[in-house]
Amino acid sequence: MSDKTIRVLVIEDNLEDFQILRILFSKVKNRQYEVQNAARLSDGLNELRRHEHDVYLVDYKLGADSGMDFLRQAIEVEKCQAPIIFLTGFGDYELDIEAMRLGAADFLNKNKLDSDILERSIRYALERKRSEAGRSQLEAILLQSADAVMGTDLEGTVTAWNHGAEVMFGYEAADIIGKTVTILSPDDRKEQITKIREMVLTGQAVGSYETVRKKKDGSFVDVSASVSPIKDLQGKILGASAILRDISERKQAEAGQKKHEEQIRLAQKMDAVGRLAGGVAHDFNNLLSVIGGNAEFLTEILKKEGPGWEELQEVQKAVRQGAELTKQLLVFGKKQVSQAQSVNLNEISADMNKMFKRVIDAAIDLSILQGKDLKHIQADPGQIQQVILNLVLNAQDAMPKGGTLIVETKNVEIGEFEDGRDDYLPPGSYVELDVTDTGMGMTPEVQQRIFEPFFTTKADKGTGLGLASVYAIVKAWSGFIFVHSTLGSGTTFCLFFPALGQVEKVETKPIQQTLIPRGTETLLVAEDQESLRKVWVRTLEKQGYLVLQAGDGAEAVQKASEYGGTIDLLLTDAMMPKMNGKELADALKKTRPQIKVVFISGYPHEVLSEQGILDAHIHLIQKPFELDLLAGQIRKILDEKGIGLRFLTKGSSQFDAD
Amino acid sequence: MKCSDFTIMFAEDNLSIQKIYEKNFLKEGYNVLLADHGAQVMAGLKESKVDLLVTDLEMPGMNTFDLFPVLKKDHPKLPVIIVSGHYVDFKTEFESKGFNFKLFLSKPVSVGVLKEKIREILKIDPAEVK
Repeated sequence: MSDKTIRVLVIEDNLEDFQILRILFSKVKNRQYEVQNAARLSDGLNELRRHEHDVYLVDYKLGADSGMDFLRQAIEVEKCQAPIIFLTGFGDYELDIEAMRLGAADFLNKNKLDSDILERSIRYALERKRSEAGRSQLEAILLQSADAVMGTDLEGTVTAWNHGAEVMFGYEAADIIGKTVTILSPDDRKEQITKIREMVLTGQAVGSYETVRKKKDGSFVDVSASVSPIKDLQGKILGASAILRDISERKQAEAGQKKHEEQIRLAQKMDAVGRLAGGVAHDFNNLLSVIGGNAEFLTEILKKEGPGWEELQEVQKAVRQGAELTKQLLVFGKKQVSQAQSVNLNEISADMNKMFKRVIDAAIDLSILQGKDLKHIQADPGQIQQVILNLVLNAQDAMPKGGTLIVETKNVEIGEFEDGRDDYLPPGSYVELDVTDTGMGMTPEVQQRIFEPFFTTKADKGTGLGLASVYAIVKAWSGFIFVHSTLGSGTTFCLFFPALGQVEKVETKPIQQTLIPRGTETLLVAEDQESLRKVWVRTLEKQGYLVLQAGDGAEAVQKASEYGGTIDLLLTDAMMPKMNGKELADALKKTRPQIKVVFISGYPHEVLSEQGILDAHIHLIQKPFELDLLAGQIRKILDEKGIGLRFLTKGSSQFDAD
Repeated sequence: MKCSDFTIMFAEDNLSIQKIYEKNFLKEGYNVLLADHGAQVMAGLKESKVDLLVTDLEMPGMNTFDLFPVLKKDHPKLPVIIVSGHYVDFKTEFESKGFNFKLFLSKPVSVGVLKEKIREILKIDPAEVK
């Protein structure tokens, strides 16, 4: 600083006085000043706006104006940061006070001025400004930080509270300063906050620990906190400062991730049980056949009600139970026969109402709340009935003394970035089915294992397969299931099934007896909508085809190049982003000229022709169509000699997942 | 008609189950022919007059699926009962194969039920049953 030339502007209308000041400045040793003059207030302000001077000296008398006006304007209007030193020709205490109040750095009497006084006044003023600037920056950082910064005294009374703390906790600084800091502590953590304060008051800092704090509205926020002692210059502890960062988002993400991982683990466990069951079913059933067959043979030989006869009945009963058990286990391996249909949960729950009345205890108040305009889902109605019945009976078992049981359905949209949901669901349209009871509830430990095969809390009558099969069925139809339960107050099972596009009632058809043609050819299915693609693939796989699938044109080309065998038919959406169906077909025909191509489109034939996507010699199936129709159509096309022309108009509206 | 007028072939790779078929149906009075796998079934059908076939769906070597075309071609009228330890019901599938598919039963099969069904199919006079 001492080497730098200090730029000084003197606002002074008396040229003589200015000359005297210049001389005084020039006499100062070891310092360089660049001294300029502005004769009028307006000139002085103009200069000030250019921020080129380190310090301003302003005379009290400026012709018609007063130096006070300059001071006022410079500080209040122009927010001048450089020091302004006031000069007068006479010492006036009142004036001095007024100048100080307005923000003058010093007040000098021109008549008593010498170069030492001038030098010292300017040096002090500049030094003061510099440390002030540093402090106010630090203050701004603390005040405006998004982290909550707070101070307390030795007793734990809040003494400082920044903007971040206001936002985080909902208390204004004025609300909370003077109150005790434990106000922020959830009831079960009051002790923790006291303990930390005690540690800090012995001089220790407590580094970033994660905890929960309570907001003004009573809700909780996850925070990472650091607490340090506040000491004065002598090292005496005056209180504690705390910096808290909101980590709820991270905590939520972690919880979501954990839940998601649990779901995956459970699915794997189910799959393993299913595979195991599938693997042993044949042998196990053979064993049961031998046991049962011999028992039957003996039963015929032995006299009815004679010695051993009753025991043989027991053996046969056990054989039947064993067979039933295998059958249930096979659900997990998805080996159960199922009938994919467009299903409306409102219709199913209404149909089941009669049955509920028979099986539900009179002490239980059952209501069925049906969502309006409920969308359809793809499922097997028999299995869905099994799911609902299972959940309802479970709910009843949870309420041995009676209570309320609610079966509720509704449409749900999950957005791309849905926050705040406990349950992990990929974005999309769903139909939600909730079964709620006001029963005994479950502990978190039980909730965690509730869907595991063979886990049961019903010591005497449970097989541990009820909820496990519910889970397996929900999963088989690409659904999701969550349980929310509070010990002592009840449980809700929330099921989500991907919704089919339409809302209007479709005629429920009797279970199809007609034969859907099957095949063993290899098909490549390209469709960018995952839900649609899955349904098609599942349908075609059920008919025996080997199905390769791809989410877009590029992936389809890649799958085709990786697959060594013949691909008999390409089933592709005509309109896909990046590479459309036609482009994909052309690309594949280069290496597989024999491949047959079927386009699926929601657009009319003409539109596709106009866009050059379709030429006349191409098969087109228009959306929406029935799944059976798809399978039938594909069989026909595969059986055709050469590449014929087939144009299919809109089928019945059985299926439309758009 | 009485049981001794008929020959039933049981195709089953599990020998204990074979034994159960053998004992029960011999006792009923039928002639019984046993086969361990598909090839034996074909040979048996060629060499003997068989009136009804009870076959497991899964057998080692040539399985029942491979038999279907042969049944369709050479024995389209032979009544066939299919038994399986899996619960996948291929009823509609079997009906379309062009042979005389009668019934699908899940294992474990009750011998009593099987006896009854066979009596129905072969139109056995109840008075003739031993």
